[in-house]
Amino acid sequence: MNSRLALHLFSHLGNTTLGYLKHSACQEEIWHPYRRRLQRIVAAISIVLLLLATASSAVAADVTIAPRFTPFEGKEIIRVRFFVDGKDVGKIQANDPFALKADNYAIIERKSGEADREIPLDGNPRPRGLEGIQNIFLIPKEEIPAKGKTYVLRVAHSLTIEAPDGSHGVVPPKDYKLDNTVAIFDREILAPESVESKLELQAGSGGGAVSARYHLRKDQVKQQLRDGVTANDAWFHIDFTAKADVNVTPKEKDQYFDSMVAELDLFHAYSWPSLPSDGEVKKLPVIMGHSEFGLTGRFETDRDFKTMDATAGAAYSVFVKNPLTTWLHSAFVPKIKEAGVAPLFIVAYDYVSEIRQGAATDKGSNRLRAEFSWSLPLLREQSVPVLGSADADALFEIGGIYDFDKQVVTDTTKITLEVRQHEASDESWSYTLTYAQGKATPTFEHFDAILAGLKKNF
Amino acid sequence: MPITDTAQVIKDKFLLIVCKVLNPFVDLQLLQVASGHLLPVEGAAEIQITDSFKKIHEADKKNGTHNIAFIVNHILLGVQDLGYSTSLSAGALITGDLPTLGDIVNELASGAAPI
Repeated sequence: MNSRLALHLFSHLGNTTLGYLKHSACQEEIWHPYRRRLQRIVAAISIVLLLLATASSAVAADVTIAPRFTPFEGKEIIRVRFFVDGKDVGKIQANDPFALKADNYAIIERKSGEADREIPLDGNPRPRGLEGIQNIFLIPKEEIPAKGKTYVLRVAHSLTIEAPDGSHGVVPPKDYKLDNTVAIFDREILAPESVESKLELQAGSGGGAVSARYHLRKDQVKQQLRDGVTANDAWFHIDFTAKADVNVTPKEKDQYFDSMVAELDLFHAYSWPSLPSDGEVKKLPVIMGHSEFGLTGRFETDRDFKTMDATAGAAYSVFVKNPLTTWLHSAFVPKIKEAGVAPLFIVAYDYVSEIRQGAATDKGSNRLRAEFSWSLPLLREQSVPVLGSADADALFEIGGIYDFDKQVVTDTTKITLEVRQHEASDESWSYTLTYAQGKATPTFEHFDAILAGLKKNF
Repeated sequence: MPITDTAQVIKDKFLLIVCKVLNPFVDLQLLQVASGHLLPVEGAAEIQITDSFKKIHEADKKNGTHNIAFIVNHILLGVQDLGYSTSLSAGALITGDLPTLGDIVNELASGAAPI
């Protein structure tokens, strides 16, 4: 019911009723002692009915919540969004009696064949958002999630969600599945690993063992995020691990347990040139880019240094934003709305060595890889048979590998024309037309071919 | 930075941060200089970015680089410099949950709180 109409109807009802009572009271004085009380009752009922009608008219069509794992300050937390008609635009009121109380939520861990386990929260939910309480963050007391388990968020009391038009809807108390789909990427890309160093000595009837771990990590960016200090444009990360597991009894020295390993993972990433966050800028640089230099290494040996493996690698990669490819990006598709990716150049050196029982084998390799990759948009939303509205891109992967030991260059160049459905999902089919040349595994014979096909990711 | 700015002013600053961090990685110009100041280009909020994130992520997997993590971390550092903490999921960028630069800004804003 429209609220303005409701107001009119109940106002009319109240006036009519009171008018009748007033008229009756004039004629029959017996009503006089009850008149004021009846007036109040009728007025109160009218107001209650009016409020109910107004409230029912303001109920939003469809509201729900969508809890999801998300990274926050080095931890994995639960971010709760409020949806109105399928859009992430709802808010909750700060005076909602339950929305910001820890008692209203429980994170439930489930595993087939086991009883549910509740994971406690670290304090009350944290209200977030620049325009009212748009999200709440729930911080679990312990590290979640664990492999092989599913999680739900149990909401004990209903939540009132406010839509942008001021209407309200109610989210019922129940279990809401915790979305894990995007968090899989976050764990791979962002999640910090635990760092632990320890020394352990073990002794028994068969002898003894020494187990030692040393882990050094320096991560500039994560430290800045933890400490809340001013950012700079670079990122330096070093991870060094040394492990030793050595038996002290000679007869067991051939076992795998008897090993020493050192691993290094180091990278330095930076965008260039540095742009000021404040202050005057005369003009944008013509060429800009982002570079990353990385070193990796692994060395493993037994305690006698007779059986050793070593791998080492160094790589430099750089995205180069330049006027030519920026112009080409929109040359075939004017007013293109996609950002595209600047050309990427990579030079990498890999060394793999294997030494067994004190003698070098012929399995070592020593090679240099160079590659340029870039994609050029050719068509957007053009009608194509079968696919309907389609997009097309040319993908350039030009490069080669030089083997120092064999003194051979392997050409790895590939140019692909890809035609796919516009706004298709990753699982959709697409046409591909590929020109490839070089030497391909497993025969390593030179080929030069144009290949047509269908592509589907799964 | 005072926390008294209106939500829209803060979101405009978040958009500039997003454009500054992403600009070297993409083939479209995201920045302009107007009256001696660095600003997002007109219509920057509508620029579609999901395909770029997918390609950068593929390059990261192939080459062992850390470009997606750099982008996420430096957007968060820029927001932190403005006096706010927030959350940004790398997975949401790659899977297309946040298809435009404006969606990324809304995601930062809806999860923001003064430090």
